[in-house]
Amino acid sequence: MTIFEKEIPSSFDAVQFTVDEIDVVLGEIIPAIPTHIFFKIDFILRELLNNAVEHGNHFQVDKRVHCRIDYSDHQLTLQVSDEGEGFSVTDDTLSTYDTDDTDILLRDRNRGYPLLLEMAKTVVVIGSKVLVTIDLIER
Amino acid sequence: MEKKLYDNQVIFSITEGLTANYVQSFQQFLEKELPEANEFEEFVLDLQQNSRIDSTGVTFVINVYKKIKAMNKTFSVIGANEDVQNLFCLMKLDKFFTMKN
Repeated sequence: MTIFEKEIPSSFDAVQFTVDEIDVVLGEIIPAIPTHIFFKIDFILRELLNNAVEHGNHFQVDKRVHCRIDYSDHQLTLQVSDEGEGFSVTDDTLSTYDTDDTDILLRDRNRGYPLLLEMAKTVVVIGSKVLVTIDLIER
Repeated sequence: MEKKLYDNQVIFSITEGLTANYVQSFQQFLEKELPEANEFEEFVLDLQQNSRIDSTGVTFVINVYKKIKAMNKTFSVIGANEDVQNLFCLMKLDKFFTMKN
């Protein structure tokens, strides 16, 4: 079932407000979420929404970010889309933390997507839409 | 963000989320309030009042670390909760600076 759906303006303040709203909704509908999974959801949501605002819509006030959250079978599906041209997953985007190279570990960019891959159950990018599933059961 | 100075130690405390919407103001605060190199030996970033973070926040921490290291000073993080510490360890940031409760 869909537990949250909203279109938001392209600003980091709107992201903050929306994540606060979603945290409240999650707390009401799924109160037993373990703290570290709640942390993961909060982090992933911010990454998806921030990326849509910054890289998708380039902070243009007339462009919106669509956010939808579905809950079923102990799993959340987050769906975020923007009005940008979409992005392709490149080697840079995928740079992981499986390295001891200081320059890579302390790089200034491309930190978000690899973290999504580490934290989420699945990540699917279709043009300007990103679908992420998160397991709510501790394994 | 708040600053405290004890002897040779300067402590910057994050009082809001370490998130994209606040990072610019943190950078401005730091630029304005970071003491001169001869006024401190150790820089401490206090995350005790904060449990929210995103990758922009992580990048801010890394940039502060780089800045302090370039000044030949010590950098450490205190008060980060278990989730934030785990996140930093996942990114191998514990190779570069210490984290204390």
